Amino acid sequence: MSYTAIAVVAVVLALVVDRWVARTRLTGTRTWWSAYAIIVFFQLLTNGWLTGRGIVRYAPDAIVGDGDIRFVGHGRLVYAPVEDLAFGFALVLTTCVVWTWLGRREAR
Amino acid sequence: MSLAHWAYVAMLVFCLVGTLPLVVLFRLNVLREPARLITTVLVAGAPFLAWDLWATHAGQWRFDAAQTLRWRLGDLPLEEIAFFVVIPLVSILTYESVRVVRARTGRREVDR
Repeated sequence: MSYTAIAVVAVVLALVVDRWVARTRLTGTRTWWSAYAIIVFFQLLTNGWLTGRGIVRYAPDAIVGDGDIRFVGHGRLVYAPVEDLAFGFALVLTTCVVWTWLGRREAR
Repeated sequence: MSLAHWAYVAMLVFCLVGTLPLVVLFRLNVLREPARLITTVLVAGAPFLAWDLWATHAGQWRFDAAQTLRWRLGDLPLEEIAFFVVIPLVSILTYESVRVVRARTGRREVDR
């Protein structure tokens, strides 16, 4: 599976866990989306550093983009493959879901 | 080892320097709940670390040896392992800070 396909699956899985498995429903709150908005801004910044400098390099056949590392375009946003946004979304959501779920268990 | 080897470390330090002050600023209890924090990092981070190990092994992405430190786990530099600790931590700190701010302004949903 390409990075693109796995990234889409990861986003769907994270949403399923939030909505129906852990039932934290963070994606239904303004609080989580506000936090994510802040996080994604800094993700673009820090990931731009990692990808723009070539600290991480991607195989062209694994992403929607090609070998070109552009600021915007060719499947890239601030140098990073757009798939990284999905990776980050899934990681951040899963983290907040687990954190919240554990907190609710303790509160009981 | 040249300065360039610290390029990835620098990004992780930037993330921590930007978010750890939130603990003091918003009196967050996140670091006072080590069991909850460690469990979260392990449970949430593990599948992504496994994905990362697989993807680097499959050659979907790789790390520049000139801009990372020497230590490796599989094909991952030590920094990439640390990434899965740092990013969950800064995400929780950001989320909890937003909760505090929204609670102060009376706009928090019933989301506890």
